[in-house]
Amino acid sequence: MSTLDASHEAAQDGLDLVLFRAAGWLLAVPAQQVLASEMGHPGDAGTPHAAQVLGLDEKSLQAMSNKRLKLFFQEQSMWVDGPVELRHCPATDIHPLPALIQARQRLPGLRALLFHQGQYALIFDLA
Amino acid sequence: MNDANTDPASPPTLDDILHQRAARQAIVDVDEPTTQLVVFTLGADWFAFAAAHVREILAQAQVFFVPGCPPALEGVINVRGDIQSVLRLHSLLQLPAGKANGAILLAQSSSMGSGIRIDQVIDVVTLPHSSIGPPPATLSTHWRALVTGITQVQGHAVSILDLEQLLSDYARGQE
Repeated sequence: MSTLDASHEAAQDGLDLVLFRAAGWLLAVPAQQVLASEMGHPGDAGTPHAAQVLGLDEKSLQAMSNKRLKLFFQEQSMWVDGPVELRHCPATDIHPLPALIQARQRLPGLRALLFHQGQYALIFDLA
Repeated sequence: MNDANTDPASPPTLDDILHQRAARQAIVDVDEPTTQLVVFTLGADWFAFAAAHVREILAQAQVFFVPGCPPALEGVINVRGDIQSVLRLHSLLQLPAGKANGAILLAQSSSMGSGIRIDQVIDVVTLPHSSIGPPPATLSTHWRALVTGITQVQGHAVSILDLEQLLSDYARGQE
């Protein structure tokens, strides 16, 4: 079961999300899916950037910040741009993708949208 | 002059006939089914959706872009906590790009809802079914599946679009 499909009780409370940036976008993943993190090492070329993993426009990669964090998930790891923060978001701020977006978008793992405290973020499910 | 004949045994006069005709016409007018339409423009072309499918007309709304979507999907809007996609109708109908700040119709089909970007809302009109004709045979193949009828509003030809078909076709990737 995906962590975004958590129990009804948990869904009423909200979800801890890790927010970060990639390719100019504010992105989020459920905190339960992040196993570990470490500061970036510029020489580590073997780990892909989040923009590549999540199918975002790689032309924006040149705008990446130098302050990077490596996030480790169950099956993969990826570089993300800062600032990275853990935030508890109420369930009412987390919205399913509208039907047409769900049907036509092509980003692997894009599951929901976050409208929280005036910010808009794309929520990915990497489980 | 009104010389209507009140004697049932005598042949009807011209006034009798005209009164009967007027009475029948009045009954037909009252009983004739009507359709309410939201009439709008895309560039120089006039279109309409059945008003029953339009929940709200937004003059302005902030659109949030969603990456990874086809160009006809402009993004999403947050309408009092209800997140809706925004579809560029110009793109779907293969018309030149319209106003970036045109109105958005909040449309609802039986299976899904979406915002639909148009240029300008003209009017909401109620028309008898008899004033709506079939789509002309000369309609392009692309429009034929989406146009259910043609009518006239304010002297302009108005193509009435099938919202159910439009949204379901787009969701299936048939645009």
